[in-house]
Amino acid sequence: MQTKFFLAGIALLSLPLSMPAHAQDKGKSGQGSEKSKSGERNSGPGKAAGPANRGADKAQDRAPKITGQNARAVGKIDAGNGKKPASPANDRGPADRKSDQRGNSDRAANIPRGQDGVVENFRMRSLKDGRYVWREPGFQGCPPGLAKKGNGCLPPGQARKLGGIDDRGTRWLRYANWFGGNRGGDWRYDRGYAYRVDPVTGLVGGIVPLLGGALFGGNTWPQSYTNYKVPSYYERYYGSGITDSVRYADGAIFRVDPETRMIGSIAGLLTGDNWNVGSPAPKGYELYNVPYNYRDRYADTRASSYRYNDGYVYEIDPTTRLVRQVIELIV
Amino acid sequence: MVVALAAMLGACQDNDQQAADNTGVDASVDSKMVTTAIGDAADLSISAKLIGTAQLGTALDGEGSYTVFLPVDDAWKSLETAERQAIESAENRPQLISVLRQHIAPGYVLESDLEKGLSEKDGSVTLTTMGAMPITLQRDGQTITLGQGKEAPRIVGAPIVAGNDVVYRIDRLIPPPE
Repeated sequence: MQTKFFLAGIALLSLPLSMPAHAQDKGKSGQGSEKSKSGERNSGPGKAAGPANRGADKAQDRAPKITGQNARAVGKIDAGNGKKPASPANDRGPADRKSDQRGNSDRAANIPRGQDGVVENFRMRSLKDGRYVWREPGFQGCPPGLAKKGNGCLPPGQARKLGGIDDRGTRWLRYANWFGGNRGGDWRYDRGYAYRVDPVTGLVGGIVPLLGGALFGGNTWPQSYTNYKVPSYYERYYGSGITDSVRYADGAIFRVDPETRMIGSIAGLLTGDNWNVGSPAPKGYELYNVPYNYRDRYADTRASSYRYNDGYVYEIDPTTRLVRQVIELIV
Repeated sequence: MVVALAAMLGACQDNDQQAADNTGVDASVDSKMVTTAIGDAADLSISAKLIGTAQLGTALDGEGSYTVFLPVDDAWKSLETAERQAIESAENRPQLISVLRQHIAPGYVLESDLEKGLSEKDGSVTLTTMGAMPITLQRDGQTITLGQGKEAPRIVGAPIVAGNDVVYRIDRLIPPPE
């Protein structure tokens, strides 16, 4: 163990922090006995590995991989069998899964991720005055049953009739502030959608299907909401072993039947915190939070801190708090 | 050179000790899926039901890792009747999910991680959430609260550690911003 960290420490000291992401990758294969596989390439957004492969992978050795990416991810490391059981039959305790991980030998690959980490529709947030603010990636079309007229889905008079996001009937007393609090007064809520209504013209300028409203198991995916792609990594991470497609909206990951467009389940929740290599880690990650199956590999040391968010583990410089690399947890 | 190597080896020993500090797993790890473990907890029956209403069970049992602060039954029962009725209505699901998201943080924060962080940060740490704002965990004597003031929820009882998730019981809902 001492030798492992001694060598890792030398490797880390030799890496200038300002080094381009892809260059850092080449120097960061020191976590375990890793094997380069440069040239292999992930499928792009919307091009997940076939379900059969994903299902088969679940029982196989998922060795860590490090990959390069300019913005979001520098490292991609699959750290062993980190899967949760897909069925009660596979429901093994953490101790069992940990044994599996220890039995695996690490390998790494430098894999350019292309546009994987750049998904425009993700609701990225920032912290302002103690609250999160984000850009709402709504759509300009009309939800079912509403005709598009002029610049909005409704004429001014009708748009104003939509319930205010904090009106009685669309909220439940003070706890509804968690729902509407970060959306301004120009937002209205009606039947599972939030509408941004121009306060002057009364026209609907944007529509956001809401988690738990239009976006809910058993509902058909909103036809107008087409900006739902996820990185191929998320298709594997949140959709492994299934034939459904994996889609994103309103801070959540959904499994959707590709033929009927029926939402099958809410597969994950995302914070939308913005992590970028070379930038400071977002606030709110003071506590060590790496999932159980990865703690052996990504334990905090004086040389590196590790934090989990939205399916990735991030390596952070403990002194500067700058993000060094982004680590994917499965292949 | 020897001195330098010795110093580095000493640092490595420190690193090993640090690593040992946060790779340990708290004593009671449940082999069940987390929603099953929550459902089995007698004092979390309302939270379990609401997780089902919100269809968040698959997410909690799935690949992602979460630390969840779940109000015990008495906390839900202390709400006004109108609020409780509204919580359980289908038309208010987006609001319910917003409230639940405020009680969910990313990652796997064990009790030992929490204690270590509080110790290192003078008894107060900020934790990001899936909701509208972060929460601040604070030590107040033997108690850990989420925020300050008389409405601040307190962590009560032992956490549930199951799957990729850690679930803390709290005695109130996280109060909304005014």
